Amino acid sequence: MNTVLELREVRAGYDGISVLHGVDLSVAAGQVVALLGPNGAGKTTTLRVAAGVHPLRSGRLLLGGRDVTGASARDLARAGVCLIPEGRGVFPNLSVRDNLLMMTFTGRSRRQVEEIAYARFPDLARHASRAAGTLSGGEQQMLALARGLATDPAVLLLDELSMGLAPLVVGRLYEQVAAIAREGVAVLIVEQFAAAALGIADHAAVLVRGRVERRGRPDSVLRAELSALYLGSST
Amino acid sequence: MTSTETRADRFVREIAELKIADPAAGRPRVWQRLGAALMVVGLALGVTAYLVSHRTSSPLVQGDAVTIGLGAVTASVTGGALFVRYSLTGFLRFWMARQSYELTVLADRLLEPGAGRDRAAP
Repeated sequence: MNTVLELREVRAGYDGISVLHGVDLSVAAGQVVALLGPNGAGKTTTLRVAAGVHPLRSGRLLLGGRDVTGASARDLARAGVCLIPEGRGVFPNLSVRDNLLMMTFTGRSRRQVEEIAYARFPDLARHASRAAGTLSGGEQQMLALARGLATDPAVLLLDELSMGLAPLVVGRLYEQVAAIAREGVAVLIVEQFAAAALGIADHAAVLVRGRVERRGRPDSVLRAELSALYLGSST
Repeated sequence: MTSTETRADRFVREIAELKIADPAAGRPRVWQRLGAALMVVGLALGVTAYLVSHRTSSPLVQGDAVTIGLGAVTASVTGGALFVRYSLTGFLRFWMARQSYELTVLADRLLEPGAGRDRAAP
């Protein structure tokens, strides 16, 4: 498979604190990789590093086989790396339509952006004139995803998509994420709600205290190890 | 670009072609701080020049004070420009996007069929 995103021996941190201690991770085109782990493991930092938002202390970030370590987030976003941060990242006071408008910076017209968004999430079309802040949590997350898709991403980085949402809504969102991946987009999901992410993941990595402790297919063994990790018992 | 090119292929091609700026995480912040510092330095130099010129009757020292004052103006203007460049860029970018949107909406409205009918009617 065509590896699109690769992190090699990545170390990163904040001020005097080291968070990532040599993380290796790769995502191929059309593949969904779930990065799981307890709070404070460094999952969000890994995503931020992959998006170019957070600097590396050492290691390498490769996109499409090219070393882009140190490249600005703007350059990476322009090339097709899309980070959907935790907490949805929509403009609550702007309408759904205006939120989508913000994505015309990629060169697409307003109409094209709306067509892409509404084709994937028809519910948004019904609320096009409503302020994004008045939408339900699930609809806001749909809007965040739609905004991401409007950029025509090649790499989609999702941080805690399920946060604060009902399981039914989470399931629907992940169905859409799986559909996006089937179109050839490399998807890296950071998630604490492991069951939902593992349901669509081709590959999973478990991050513990800044290190990938376990990786592989999301089979029953990995699920059991993950449960033990979350519950604090040993297997 | 060929019609059979997948998104991943296009991504690899675009990444290869991408002109990546010199890695400089935090550089804008350094420039912004430098700008603020230069403005403060300019202000301090201006006050210094004023005090120097008023505490002497020597034309030579007053000449020095004028030079210091000009340096103060230069530092302030340069610092102000740097500060504005690196602190307001984000805001101005957003403002321009909004302006662009308003113009597009206006253009759409004007181009709508029958937009000028009311005006043309007797």
